[in-house]
Amino acid sequence: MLEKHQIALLYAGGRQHPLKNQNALNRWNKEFIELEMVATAEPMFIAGHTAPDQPQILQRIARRIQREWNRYDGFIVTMDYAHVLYNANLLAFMLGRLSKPIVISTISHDDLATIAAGAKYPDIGLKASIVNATQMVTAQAAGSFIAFGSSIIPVTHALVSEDKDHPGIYPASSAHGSVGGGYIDFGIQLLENQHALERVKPEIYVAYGERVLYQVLTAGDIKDLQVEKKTRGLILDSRHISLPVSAARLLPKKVPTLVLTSAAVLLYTNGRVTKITGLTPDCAAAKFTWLSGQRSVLAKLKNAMDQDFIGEHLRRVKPVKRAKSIKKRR
Amino acid sequence: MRVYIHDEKTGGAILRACREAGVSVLTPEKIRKRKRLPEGVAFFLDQVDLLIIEITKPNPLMHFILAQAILADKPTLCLYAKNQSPRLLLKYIRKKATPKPVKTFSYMETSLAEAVNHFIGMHDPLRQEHDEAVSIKYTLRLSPRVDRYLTWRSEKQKMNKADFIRELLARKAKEDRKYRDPLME
Repeated sequence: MLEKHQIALLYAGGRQHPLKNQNALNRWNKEFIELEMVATAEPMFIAGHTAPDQPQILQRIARRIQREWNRYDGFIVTMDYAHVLYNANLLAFMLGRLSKPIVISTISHDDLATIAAGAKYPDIGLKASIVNATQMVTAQAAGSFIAFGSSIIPVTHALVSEDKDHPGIYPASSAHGSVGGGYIDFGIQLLENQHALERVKPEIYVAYGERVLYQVLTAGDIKDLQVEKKTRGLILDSRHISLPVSAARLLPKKVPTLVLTSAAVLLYTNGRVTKITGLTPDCAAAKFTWLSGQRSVLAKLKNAMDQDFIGEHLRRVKPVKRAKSIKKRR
Repeated sequence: MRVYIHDEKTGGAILRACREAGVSVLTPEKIRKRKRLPEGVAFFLDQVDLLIIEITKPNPLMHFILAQAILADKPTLCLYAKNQSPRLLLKYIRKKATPKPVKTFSYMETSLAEAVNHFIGMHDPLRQEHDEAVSIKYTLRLSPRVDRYLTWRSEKQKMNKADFIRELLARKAKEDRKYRDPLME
């Protein structure tokens, strides 16, 4: 009898036609014989979709993972492709440093081409991603990863390609070499620098900046930007447009603003601009949102962005212990 | 044509059969030696056209590769030694939802090479073109009665006798399920 690892499969999107509830997920999972061949998976319905303005779904995922921690060898979380890296990074900050694998699964390269052609994509890409993700559990890796194509990438080191001919998710080139994860080549091939900790339950920090507004800019948006009084942080994603330097004058003065451009990540606080280095754009945005929910950090946001909480920095930075650096807000 | 071979049982017999069939092969040993996926390969199964896996004693890696092959509709030949069927894995492979590209075959030492050769031939486009060429000469003697029928029939269909016979045999070959798929169980 083949021994199979126990996996929790948390569904939070990824299908063209979203599943609506636990019963639908159970029926879908029952037909998923390919997953049954490689693992014993317990399906758990979280939500039909994941969107960047719904971090409460990520909170639900984090709490569920913590609750079920001892029952499973690893966790696979499905998500929609849109904003997957932002959501995956925010979940990673909520969960902290892990001693088991959490792997995000989403659609495939072929599905992206299908979407670009205006057609509907089948489930095969998502299912292949899930089956690939099980290999990180088999390998007993530790951390938060995303499975895309044949790559298994630490979420904090993953980038979305803007190349229309080669869309998808790829590992960021790292200043200090391989940072864990691996690739699938007729079996899992792990890269170096896998970290493994004593197998303890994670201490989760699910608070996030509830009044942080995430806005994807299109041309002309910046002039019409309206920020509500209650907004406590702003993320402007301008990676798909060319934002003029003069746009900085239009930013709200009293609201910390993180601007993502195709060339850099810029933090505007108290009238000053700081270039944020060593983080991928989605990681920086997620970190900004997460830090905005932690007590007493806002005033020192710039310093906190430089600190390393979960191994997110692309350059070598000494890690901090979360309990010491931030106070947990329940 | 490139074939992935996963064989921990036959002592290289499958590899030899593939080499004789003239295909290039990818093995776990070659994969272990390299440090990364080849350039331009988005998904690992894209590197090969076919898979041949010896499944008599399945392990987790075989389960994983087969699971992805089934999802990808990749032509796969699963071989197992006669009277040593891996029941659980066969149950997964033969479930109704499984597509036809995945075949299973119970082999003996004497039938292994032919099974491999046939599987490759079914999917090798070069062989198919070669197979269509009218290149083999027959001398066929007929009785006068059969010849009268052949004459009448070919006139009715406005084709020469040789073409009529070729078409008749080609149609029979297409319709004969057991011939087309000797791996069918």
